[in-house]
Amino acid sequence: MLYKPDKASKREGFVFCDGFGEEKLWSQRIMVAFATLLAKKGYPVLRFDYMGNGESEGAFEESTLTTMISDTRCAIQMLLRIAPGIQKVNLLGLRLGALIAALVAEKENNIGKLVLWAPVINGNEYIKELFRVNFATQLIIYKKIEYNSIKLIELLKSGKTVNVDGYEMSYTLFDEIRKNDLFSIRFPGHVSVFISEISKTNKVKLDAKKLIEKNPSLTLQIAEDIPFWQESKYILKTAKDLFYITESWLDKHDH
Amino acid sequence: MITEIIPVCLKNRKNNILYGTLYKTNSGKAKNILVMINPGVKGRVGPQRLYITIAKLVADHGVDVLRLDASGLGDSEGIIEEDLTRDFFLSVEKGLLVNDIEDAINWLGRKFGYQSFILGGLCGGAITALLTAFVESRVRAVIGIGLPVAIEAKKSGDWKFLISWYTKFYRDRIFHISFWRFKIFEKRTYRLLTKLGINTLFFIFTLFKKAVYRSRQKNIDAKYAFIEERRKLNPLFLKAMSSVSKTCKILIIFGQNDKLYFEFLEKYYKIYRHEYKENSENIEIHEIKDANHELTCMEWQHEMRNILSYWLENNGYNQSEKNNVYQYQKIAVG
Repeated sequence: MLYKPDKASKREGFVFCDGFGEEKLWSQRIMVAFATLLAKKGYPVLRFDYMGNGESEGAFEESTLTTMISDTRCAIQMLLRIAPGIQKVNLLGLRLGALIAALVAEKENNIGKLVLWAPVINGNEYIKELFRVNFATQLIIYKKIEYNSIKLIELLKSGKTVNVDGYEMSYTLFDEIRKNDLFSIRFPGHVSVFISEISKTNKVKLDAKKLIEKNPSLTLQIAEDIPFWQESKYILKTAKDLFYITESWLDKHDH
Repeated sequence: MITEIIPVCLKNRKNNILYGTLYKTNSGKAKNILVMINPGVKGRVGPQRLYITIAKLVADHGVDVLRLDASGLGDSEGIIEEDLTRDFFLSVEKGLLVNDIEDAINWLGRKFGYQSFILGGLCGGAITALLTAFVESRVRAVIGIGLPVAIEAKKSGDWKFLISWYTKFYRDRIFHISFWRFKIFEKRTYRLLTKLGINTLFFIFTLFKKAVYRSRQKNIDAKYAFIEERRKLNPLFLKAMSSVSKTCKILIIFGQNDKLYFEFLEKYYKIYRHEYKENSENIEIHEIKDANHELTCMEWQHEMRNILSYWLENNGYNQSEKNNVYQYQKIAVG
């Protein structure tokens, strides 16, 4: 989906990098709301689906971090082509999408800003979260956990896929996620980076604190909003605090 | 065979733009189209891209498909007024999305010449499909997966049902140590226990208040006043099912472990069996063994595809060259 501003006033556009699996579906309305907001401010915005995700062709089992990074690069090139007048592309990533955005920004030349919402900082820890989702599914099917983490990894290594909330994760995807984290990324000096932790309790995760200590040039702020990439008892139409702090940071760093 | 997959947009009666994905086939016969409606609050892709799986399967049978985002959902314009998910579900069960689907049907008829419609969806999409079929005569068939037939049990205070459901759900699980190990480390367990503790304290306080002040029972919240008291069944579902099953083909699929299936059996099928039997040549109900509400596993989705494929062929929606030789038995319900 391309969000074209009525009057293109900015020389930067945005490409959104979505979260993994069902996180993408739960967060869709918030991403739509922010894309609309950015378009009203004069930024063209491109929301896209990685191969095997959302509306895009391909099987999810074949998507890997490498294909997601490649797809993001294609989206960047597409936006530069179809949105006249923009010179730089900013990346906005949510959760695993934030890690993907950072990996892309590390190597791409035409990235202006990086906005990371509730980023997956440590891929290995994220894999543990995904495995827990698999365990919950096993409890439904088998009424007990038949395959623990070790057995799941053995299954993956043998060429089978592991079901995570309805998505069949391959060994390559598993391996690439667990081997990547934000600590090992060398953020380019010309890219302004904004990280927002999203939490109702106003607490910063330890990993985020360590990341900022390692990279003092990054900006970290906490948004007191309900995590919108998970099932919630509320209908989340917007993330007020998150939108406000992100907008403020963008306005401050407007070139 | 799918010839084109095209993004479309249409305006509903409130001037909101609704986005959809249209699958066109080379069927060349009388124009049929399946309109798929949002499941709950999720977009038109569906959980685990279930709607894409269904759309491709149905299109392979020569039926065009539109996966549509109703207003306020997915990519479409509009805002959902409710703040709580359960209130939104209640509104959907009362027909919130019916207008959008009617608008989509009218647009499809005007723009592409479609004459007959199949409506389908999961959960909220399923009940919306049935309620729309009740008011729209061009609908020939309804496909409902995980169809909700009753008002959400917690809100309607149907504790008897909730106790029987949770007893059934946990009965087989409590003897496995891995289940308890998982539950101990799950944050949700502690949130539920805290809530239970708070609710218990609140309940005791309410009893005390009643005893001391002898206050009368509060009036039932007006928005639930229409609930059929004895069974908390959605009366709109009852009316729609009774009427639609006389003129349309209905396919209903449930996961065996879906709470809504349990509700369907306890609150509708067992009590209204006579009505079901009168129109049974039009209604097919299937259960998928071990499956959950969203058919998360590939095996369950495969089973759903087989059921759907066979149903499409049996009901004249087969323009594909290969014949599906899948043999199955309709589940004897009850």
